[in-house]
Amino acid sequence: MMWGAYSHLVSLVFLLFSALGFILFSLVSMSLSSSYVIEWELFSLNSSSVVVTLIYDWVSFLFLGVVLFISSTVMYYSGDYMSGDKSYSRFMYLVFGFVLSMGALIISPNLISILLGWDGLGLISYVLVIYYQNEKSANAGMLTVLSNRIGDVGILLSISLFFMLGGWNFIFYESYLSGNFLLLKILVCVAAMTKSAQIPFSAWLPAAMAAPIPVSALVHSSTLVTAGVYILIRFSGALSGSCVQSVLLIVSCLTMFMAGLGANFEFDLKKIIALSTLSQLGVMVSILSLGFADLAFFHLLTHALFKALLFMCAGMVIHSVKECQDICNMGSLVTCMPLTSVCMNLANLALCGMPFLAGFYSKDLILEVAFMSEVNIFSFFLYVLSTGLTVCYTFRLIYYSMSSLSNMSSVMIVSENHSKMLKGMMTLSVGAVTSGCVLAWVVFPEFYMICLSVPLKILALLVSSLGALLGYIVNMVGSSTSLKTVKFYSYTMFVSSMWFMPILSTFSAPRWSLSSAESFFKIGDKGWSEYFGGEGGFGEVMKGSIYLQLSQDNMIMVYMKGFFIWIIVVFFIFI
Amino acid sequence: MISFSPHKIIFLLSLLSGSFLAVSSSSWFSAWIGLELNLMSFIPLISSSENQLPSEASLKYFLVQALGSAIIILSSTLTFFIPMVSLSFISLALLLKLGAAPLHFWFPQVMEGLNWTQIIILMTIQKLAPMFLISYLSSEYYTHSILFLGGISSAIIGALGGINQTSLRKILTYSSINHLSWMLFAMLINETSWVIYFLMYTLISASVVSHFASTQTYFFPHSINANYSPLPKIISSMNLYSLGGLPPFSGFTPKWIITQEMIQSSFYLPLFILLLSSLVTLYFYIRITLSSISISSTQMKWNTPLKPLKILSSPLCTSINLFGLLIPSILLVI
Repeated sequence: MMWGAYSHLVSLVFLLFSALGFILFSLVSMSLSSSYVIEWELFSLNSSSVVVTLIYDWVSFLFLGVVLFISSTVMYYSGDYMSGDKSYSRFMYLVFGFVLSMGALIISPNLISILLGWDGLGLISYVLVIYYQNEKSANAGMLTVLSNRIGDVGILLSISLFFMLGGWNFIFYESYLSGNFLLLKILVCVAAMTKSAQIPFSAWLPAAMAAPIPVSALVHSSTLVTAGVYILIRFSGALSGSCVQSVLLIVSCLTMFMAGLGANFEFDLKKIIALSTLSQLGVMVSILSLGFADLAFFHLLTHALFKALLFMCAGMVIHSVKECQDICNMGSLVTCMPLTSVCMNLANLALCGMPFLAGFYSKDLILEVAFMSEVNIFSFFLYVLSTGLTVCYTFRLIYYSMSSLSNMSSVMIVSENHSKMLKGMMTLSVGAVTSGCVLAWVVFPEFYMICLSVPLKILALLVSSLGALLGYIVNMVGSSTSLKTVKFYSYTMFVSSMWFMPILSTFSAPRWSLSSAESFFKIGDKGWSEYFGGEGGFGEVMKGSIYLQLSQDNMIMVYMKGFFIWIIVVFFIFI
Repeated sequence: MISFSPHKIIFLLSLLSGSFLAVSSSSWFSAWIGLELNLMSFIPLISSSENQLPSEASLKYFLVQALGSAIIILSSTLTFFIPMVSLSFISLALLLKLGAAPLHFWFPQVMEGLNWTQIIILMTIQKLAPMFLISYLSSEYYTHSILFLGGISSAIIGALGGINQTSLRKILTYSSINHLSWMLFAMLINETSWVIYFLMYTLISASVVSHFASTQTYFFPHSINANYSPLPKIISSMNLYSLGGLPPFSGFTPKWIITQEMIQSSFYLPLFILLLSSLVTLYFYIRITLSSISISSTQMKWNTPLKPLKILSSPLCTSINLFGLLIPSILLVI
C-alpha cells in the first residue's frame, strides 16, 4: 500500500481522533481546575537547571484540540487540492512536521523547549512557502524566514537573560517579573511581534501567500501567526503593569487599521484574506495588551476556525477559475458553486461579527470590553474604524467573487466536484457556526460585566452596517480616469502597499551591506588581492621566466668562450 | 625503449665503468680518466647520422663536457701550488659537467635532441660521477661559496625556466636543475641525505620518463590524450606529483630530510628560496596532468598503443611512488 497516496486519510483519522480526545481532556481539566506539569531535568548549572517541561492545562488542551482539528480537515482537503502534484508525499510530511512543532510549542511552558517548537515552526513554514519552486516563492520564503529569525534572536537573548531568574519555566515566574526585567519583556514582545506580523514586521504575511492554499489555511491563519499571541498569553501575567503594554496597544491598533485599509485596495484574493488575518491578529494583540488574555485566547480559537474555512473556500474558488487569483476575473460564483458559496459566506459573516455566528461572540465581546476600559482616543478611533473596514472589505469580496456579473472568460467550466475538499470545508463550517457559542459557554462560565451607554453599545453594529453598505455599493463602478483612486494615485499606492513596509523590509534594509560587499569584492577580492596574490605573483614569475629565456637565447659557443676566458683571466690574476 | 643492439650494450657498460672509476678514484687524474671514459662512451649512444638534431645535440654535449674535463685536469695539477683557485675551478668545472646553474646553458638544448631512453641516462647516470666528486670537495672551505651560488641559482633558474615551456624534455631539464639545487645544499650539510635524495630522484624521474616513453609523447598537450582508461592516467599523475614533492608520495621524503637538516644548521634563507622554487616546479608538473585528470571524455584525439614494457613497469612505478614515506622508518632500523 502506497502510504504517500493515502496520507490524507491516515492524517484525517489520526488527527481527528486526537483532536476530539484533547478537547475532552480540556473539558475535564477545566471542570476539575487541574493542570499537570511534567518535568525532566537535563542538567543543572550551579543554580539554574535546564529542564524539559510539559504542561497540560485546559488552555493547552483546548488549543491543541482546535489545532489538530483544523489540521485534520486541512490535510484531508489537501488530498484533493495537491492531488496532481509530484511531491505530494513530501508536502504531507512537511505539514505533519509542522503540526508536531506547533504541538511542541503549545505544551511547553519552558523557554528553552518552546524554542524547539518556535524554530521548527519557522523552518518548516519556510520550506512550505518555497514549495512551488519559482522565484516569487523563493523571495517570499526568504522574507518569511528572515522576519521570523528576528523573533528567534529575541527568544535566544531572553533565554540568556533568564539566567537572572534561575530557571526557564516562565509560567512560574510571572509574579517575579514585575520590576526591573524590562529588557526581557521587550525581547519577548519583539519575538511575538515578528511571529504575529505586527507593524514593523508585517511584510512577510502577504508575501507568504506564495505558498499553496492548504499551507495558508493551516499555517498562516491559525497556527504560525498565533504562536506569537500564544506566547504573549502565557506571559500575560508578567506583562501586566509595565510600559510594554502601551507600546503593544499602539502597534497592534495600527496593524489592525493598516491591514483593514490595505485589504480594501487589494485585488488578489489570497492577499485580501492574508490582510484580514493580519487585522484580526492586531485585534488579538490589542485586547491582550489591555490585559484581557483570556479574551485574546477566545478570539484566537474562533478566528482560527473561520479563517481556515475561508482559506479553504478560497482554494476551491481558485481551483475552479483555473488558478487565477485576481478577483477582477471572478463573479457570479454563487450560481455555479452553491456549497462553496455557502461556506464562504459563513466564514465571511463570522469574520464580520454577524450576530450569533462564531465571530460575534469573541469580537463583539472584545469591542465592548475595550470600550469599557481606559483606552486613549486614538486607539478607540482605530478600533471603530477597523471594525468598519473589516466589514467593508468582506462585502467587497463577496460582491466581486460571488454576486457580481460574471467577469470570467467566455468559455468557462466552474464546478465543485471535489468531494474531499467539500467534506473538509463542511466539517469546518460546523466549527465556524457553533464554536463561538460553545466556547463562550464553556470557557467563560461567568460572563464579563458590560455596562455601556447606548451610543457606545450600538456603535459597533452601526459601523458594521455602514461598512457593509459602503463596501458593497462603492465597488459597483467601472474603471475610468475620473475615479478618485486614479486621481490621487500616490495615496492609493501608500495605502494599498501596506504603508510601504514590504519595500522597506526587502530593498532598503540590506542595501548598504550589499553595496559595500560589492565594492569589497570588486576592489578587494578581484582587485588588490589578485595583484598581491595569485595573478600578480604569476605575472612576476612569468616575467622572470621570459627574461631567463631571452638571456639564454645565444649560441653555446658564446658561453663556452666566456667561461674559458674568465678561467684564464682568473688564473693569470692568481699566478 | 632500449633496443638491444651490441654496440649500445658495450657503450653502456663502459659508461657505467667510467662512472664507477671516477667515483672510486683516489687522485684527480684517475677521476679525470673516468669522466673522459664516461663522456666518450655516451657520445655514440646519442649521436646519429640520419637526423640533424641529435647530432647537433651530441656535438654540443661533447664540446661542453670536454671543456669541463680540460678545466679539471688543468686545475688538478695546480692543486699543489694555488689550492684556493684550483679547488674553485674544479668545482666550477664539475658544476658545468652537471648542468647546474649558472652554467646550465647547454642542458636544455642537448636534451631537446634526445629520445626518452637517452634522457633517462643523461638525467641520472651522468650525474653520478660529478656529484660524487663535488661531494669529496664539499668539506673544503673554498668550495662552499661555489656550492652556495650553484644551489641558489639552480633553484631559481630551475623554477623560472620551466614555467614557460611546452616541450616535456625541457620541462624535465629544468626540473633536473631544480633537484640539483637540493642535492648541492644537502652536500654542504650531511653526506647521507644527498645520497638518499639522489637515489629517490633517480627512481622517481625514471618512472616519470618511462611513462612518457611508453606513450612516446614529447610535448605537453599530447601527454594527456594518449589513454582511454583512467588507471594509466592516475599512475602517471602520481609519478609527476611524486617528482614535485607532494606529501603522500615518496618524492616528499628526501625533501623533508633535507629541510630538517637545513633548519638544524640554520640555513633559513636558502631553505626559503628552495621551498618557493619547488612550489613553482610543482605547479608545472601538476599543469601537465591537469587536463588528463579533469576531462572525462571517451573520445580522445590520439590513439597510441601502449608499448609492452609499460605494463610491466606500472606496478614498479606505483610502488616507488607510494611507499617512499616508509623510508625514514627503514633508516631507523639501519
